[in-house]
Amino acid sequence: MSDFSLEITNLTKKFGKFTALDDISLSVKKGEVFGYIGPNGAGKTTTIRVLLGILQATSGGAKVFGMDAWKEATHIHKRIAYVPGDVNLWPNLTGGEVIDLFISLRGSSDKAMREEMLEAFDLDPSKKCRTYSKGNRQKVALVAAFASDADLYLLDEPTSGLDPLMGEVFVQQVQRLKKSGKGIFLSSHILSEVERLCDRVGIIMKGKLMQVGTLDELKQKAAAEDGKLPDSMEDLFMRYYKVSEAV
Amino acid sequence: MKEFFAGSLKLTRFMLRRERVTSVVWIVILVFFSAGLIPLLTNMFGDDAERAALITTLESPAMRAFMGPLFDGGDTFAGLYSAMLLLWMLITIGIMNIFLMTRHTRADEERNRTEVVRSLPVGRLSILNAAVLTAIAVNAVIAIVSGICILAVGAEHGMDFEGSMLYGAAMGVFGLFMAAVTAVFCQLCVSSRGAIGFSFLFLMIAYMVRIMGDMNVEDSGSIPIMTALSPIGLLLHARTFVSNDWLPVLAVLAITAVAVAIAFALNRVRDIDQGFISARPGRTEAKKGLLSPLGLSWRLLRNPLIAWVFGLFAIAVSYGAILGDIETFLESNEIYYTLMVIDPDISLAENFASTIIVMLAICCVIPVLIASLKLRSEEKDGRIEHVLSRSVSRVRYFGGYTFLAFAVSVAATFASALGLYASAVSVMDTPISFSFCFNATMIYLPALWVIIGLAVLLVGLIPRATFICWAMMGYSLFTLFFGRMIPSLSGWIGKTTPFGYIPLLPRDSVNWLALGALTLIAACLTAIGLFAYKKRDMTA
Ligand SMILES: Nc1ncnc2c1ncn2[C@@H]1O[C@H](COP(=O)(O)OP(=O)(O)OP(=O)(O)O)[C@@H](O)[C@H]1O
Ligand SMILES: [Mg+2]
Repeated sequence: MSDFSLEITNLTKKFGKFTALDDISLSVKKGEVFGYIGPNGAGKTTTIRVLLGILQATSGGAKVFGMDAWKEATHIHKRIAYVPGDVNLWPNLTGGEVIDLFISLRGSSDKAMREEMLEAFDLDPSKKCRTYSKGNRQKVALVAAFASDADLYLLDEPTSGLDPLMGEVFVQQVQRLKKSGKGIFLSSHILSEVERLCDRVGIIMKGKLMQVGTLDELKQKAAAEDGKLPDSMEDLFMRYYKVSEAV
Repeated sequence: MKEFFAGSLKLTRFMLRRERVTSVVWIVILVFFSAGLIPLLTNMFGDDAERAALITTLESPAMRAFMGPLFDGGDTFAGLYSAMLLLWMLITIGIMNIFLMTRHTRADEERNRTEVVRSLPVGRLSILNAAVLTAIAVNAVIAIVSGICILAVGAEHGMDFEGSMLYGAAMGVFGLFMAAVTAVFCQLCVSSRGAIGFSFLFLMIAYMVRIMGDMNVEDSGSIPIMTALSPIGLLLHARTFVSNDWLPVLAVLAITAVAVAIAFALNRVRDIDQGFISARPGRTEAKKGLLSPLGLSWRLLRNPLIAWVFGLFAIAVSYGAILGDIETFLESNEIYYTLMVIDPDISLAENFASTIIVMLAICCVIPVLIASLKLRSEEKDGRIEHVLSRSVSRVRYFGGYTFLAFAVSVAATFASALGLYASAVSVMDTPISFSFCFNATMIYLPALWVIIGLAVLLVGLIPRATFICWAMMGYSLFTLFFGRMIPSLSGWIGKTTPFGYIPLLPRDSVNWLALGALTLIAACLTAIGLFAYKKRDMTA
């Protein structure tokens, strides 16, 4: 078995003529938190969907735990937990029912963990999903994911819609997972969160992977290119954003 | 008050733009069926002898129940034309309007589009108002274009100006009426699915209620009370091309106005995303039964499927109720006997029953398609990834819905058989046997399976085109209506749908080869569908 949780090699995904992902290669090691950032429409969600085997790569491919993301999706999913960025739920089911469903569709179930997460995220599981706010729908997905014992967590803007307090709970949970050696692939627009949590970061723009590395490496690279060390993540992000605009 | 309606016209224009494909297709279909069929029908009952035979058929209680009343003086080509077609045109335009209204109100609300629009400077009632205006526009176009086309094509066959216009108006007004009724249900229910379901139920009840009034063979010249309770019954009594009575049309228009007012009142007091059925706290934990892909599918489909199985039982009961009259009618009418009965060994009641079973079988298509197309709507609503991103293979997920579709095909046909038998036992002196009801109904299963095959094939191969399944259902109804009810047309047209290959038991003998072939085709379509489904991208 390889040391990587996931490996993406020369991945290209086209929708008709439009190239959403252009020759992307990156990998995430076991026990590593990987931050995936980039502007809206850059291709973050598309990448995650390819990793999930919901979209098929046009060329190149992705491996998760050494298995082909498209062909062996079901096997892979036994060891994955996923939180979508836009959580649509069944209006007639309650949050509790959906969480139980999600946990059981993955396989194992851990009652105590479920209760702990419900508590941590302060979610009322007896309400119908129709009546949940956006943040609460997000919590349903988060509770289901964090209550499952997975090896790799694919999180697509998991904190969008969460209040700051809940954002903190999220950070704690990710740190807990990190400590127990899980792989985490985190796409996010909250740069402070990425800065706090991620070991390495990839910046994607218009379907192209601009940079991959630890935060320090990226800052050093930027400094080498235009002589000034970026003083924050925002600053770094803006520089690359301008570079990609210029292309 | 005025600010409640701000921006209505702009929204209407926007809705009409969204309608430019769907509604135009509907308009073309409706106009084709109202005017385009005239030349075809002149071949069928153009001369006196053919008309006399047709009138004898139409005068039987069964056909009156099925097709609507025949009026004194309605023995002309034009009169027969409207006796045979108007009812079906009303139902079709009604269905069209159910979808039209839901699409622009409740469905948009469900997809969070409404709140975006409401955040703009538009009034609280503007969306509903614009949807009503859109319905008025679309139905007015249908009314006028149908009227003109009927006149243009039918003038040489005795279709006059007033009759043609009244015919078009009846269609347009009923369309608008159903749009208004749907608007009310869209306020009451919390989902578009619920609103569509209740509106269909309403339409079906409107069809059934008028049967009771229309059973009298004698034309009393006035409208029977039971008929007047149903807008469909009322509009049939406009006596198009006979004495052209505009009063029923105006009456339905007035009820429409009331329904619209109710919808506005409800819309004003309710909150966005809410209905009038209050939400109570639900389970904090899932029951075991929910915790599998199949369990989830069943939970999502349970209510509509069970409702439809009961609904089919009810429809079958009400059709069966006519069987008693058939016997009485038989005794007093020898011509009819010689006309209809092909095999003297089989009672007329059985002959009639085997014909209506076709209709029941087509109704069974509805729950079957609801089940198989849910596969696609879950994907469209962005919920499929919750399931497929977990340890669930596509085959298993696909299999769950397909299994439910096959299961409901059996349950629905069986419920029809049971309903028919139950009411036959209670109304007939010598009831038709259960084995007859069972065999003649269940034999339609292979045809239903082909429909399932078609549905999942489309879901796998061309997910955007799943509406073709519903079109197929409408087309099957059309071909059976013309192919089976009127034998002179039963040639190739009937053979263009799977239903055309099913023997009418017990008149025909069982053709195992055809049944086997249909089953095989269904299996192949399903397999290809699954194969394609495994290979394609999942997208909204
Ligand atoms: N099914 C599809 N068909 C066509 N184009 C698509 C499809 N799905 C995504 N795209 C396009 O691919 C590009 C990348 O989309 P993606 O959802 O991956 O962006 P993202 O990085 O997740 O953005 P955001 O930060 O806004 O979530 C976008 O330009 C989008 O329009
Ligand atoms: Mg995204």
